[in-house]
Amino acid sequence: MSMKLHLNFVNVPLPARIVSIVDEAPDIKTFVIRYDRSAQVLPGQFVMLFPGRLWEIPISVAWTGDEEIALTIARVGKVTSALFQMNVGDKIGVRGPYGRPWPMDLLRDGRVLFVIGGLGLAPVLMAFEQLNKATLVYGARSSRFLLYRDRYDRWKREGKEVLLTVDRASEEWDGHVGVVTTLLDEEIVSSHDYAVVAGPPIMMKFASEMLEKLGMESDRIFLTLENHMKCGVGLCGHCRVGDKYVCVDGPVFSLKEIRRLEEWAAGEVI
Amino acid sequence: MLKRLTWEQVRDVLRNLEGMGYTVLHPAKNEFGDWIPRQGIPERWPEDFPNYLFPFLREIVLPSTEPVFDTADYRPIFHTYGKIAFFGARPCDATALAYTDAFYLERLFRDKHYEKRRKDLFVISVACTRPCENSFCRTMGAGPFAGKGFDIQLYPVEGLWYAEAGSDAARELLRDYPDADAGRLEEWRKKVLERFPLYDRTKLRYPVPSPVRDFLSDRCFSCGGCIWLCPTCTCYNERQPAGLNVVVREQDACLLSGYHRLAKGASLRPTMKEMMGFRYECKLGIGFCTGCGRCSTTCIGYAAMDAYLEKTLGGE
Repeated sequence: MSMKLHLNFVNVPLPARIVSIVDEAPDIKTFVIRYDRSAQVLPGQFVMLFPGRLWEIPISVAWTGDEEIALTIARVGKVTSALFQMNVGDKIGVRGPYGRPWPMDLLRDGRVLFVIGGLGLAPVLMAFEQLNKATLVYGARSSRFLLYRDRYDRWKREGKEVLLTVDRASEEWDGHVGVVTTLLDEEIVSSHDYAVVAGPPIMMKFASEMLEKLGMESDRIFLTLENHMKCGVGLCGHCRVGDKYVCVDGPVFSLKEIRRLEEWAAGEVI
Repeated sequence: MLKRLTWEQVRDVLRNLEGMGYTVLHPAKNEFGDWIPRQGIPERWPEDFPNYLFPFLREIVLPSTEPVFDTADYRPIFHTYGKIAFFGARPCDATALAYTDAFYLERLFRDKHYEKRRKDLFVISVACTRPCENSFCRTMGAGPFAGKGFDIQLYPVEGLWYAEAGSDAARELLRDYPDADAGRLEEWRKKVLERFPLYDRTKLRYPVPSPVRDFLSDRCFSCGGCIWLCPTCTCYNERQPAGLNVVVREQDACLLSGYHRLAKGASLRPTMKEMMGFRYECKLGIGFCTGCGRCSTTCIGYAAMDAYLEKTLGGE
């Protein structure tokens, strides 16, 4: 079986190996996979992952190493449950990377405010770590669900501001309590040029609306959509929103582009 | 290139295609009275052939179910019917093929499964002379003559067959036949066109007016029949069927709730109204509808395009 043959068939995964599995939080693990196309991955892109049975699912790449990609995954449905039964050394199918990445050239030009909820930290991790002038506003259900905790001190040493909040405080938590939007105010928004928003859909809706209300223009707010993708290459139809396919036209969109999709669906743009 | 052929010369072209390794398929009635593609050179053109109920061209390039890779070694699996010359395709279906070609071959990623089968397909469409039941192809610009999607398009003009070439292979096949009078064909086309209804296209747009969408979604049984028969419905799902060591791709239907289901049973579009909106967004908003009328023919609930037309156009 030649690699060339595989390249021809965009819907056939390549065999890869799990090299390590890291516990991140309850029911959330990071799978590090040896994958020779890791150098092609741009911040914000995703791969299609096949656990050897069932079907493929799209997973954002959290970080890359030398021929390695790391995927932070929550156990939610059938495929992720199958993944959680896999072990180091197991063969796993990978395709990609796919999708429009974060607009890094643009983001490098300014100060970027990351407004992130829960597992949303995974698709922005590479972008956040590559930028010099960035602030992270990050919320999770509780302190146990804050991801990549071993990196926070490094980020602070690099001069990045890290503001954390939890929805429900446990006894050991002495930080801010409340949803992530409670950390946003005019001062923090006006001191940044761009915003990156990722997290559960409801959080992204409220966060982007609030950013806009606090003065950030809609073409400076970027979000990553997590629609239902079956193929990752714009062919199966499932992730279509209006006249765009999230897997190839996104998953990163500006809020302005998302508004245009809403207008298209309302028949105002054809 | 426009040529003029006798019926016997049309058969010669089909014989030539057979000589080039193509399996020639033509419309024929089976013993139950249904139109099916049959192998061989037809004795005559069946004047009473409206169209196939099933979109066979779509099925050739994108089978409803096909294995794509082996789960044991991730070896790609490629399924082919071999070289097919599809004689008697209707213009709406040739146009649909042009739409799916653009979708599967001319965007960011090319689908090799589709591409390989498409390369082996030679389409000979035959222009329609009268509208078939429920069709509104003229309104959608897909009939009674196709503008694209064919290798050869034949027009039955006054006992002869005018042949329009749509590909280099077709130009080569038709090269030695006498040229036809384009003016005469134009006159014939004008006369035929008058027999086909033309609705106000500006009203056949997305968004579906909410009362119409609600009417359609209240009546839809969610059987998926319209999608099974639509020549441009190619959305698919990929999964490993229980007990098999392959992943198959199979046609998926946006009017079935499973299409929109996310992990743990959540849904992007939990109501029939949202699913119906999604469908019309594609068919009329993006513009994948050819007006072939199959969805109306098969719909058991009066929830397809005929209902849409009646509700939006009213007395027109």
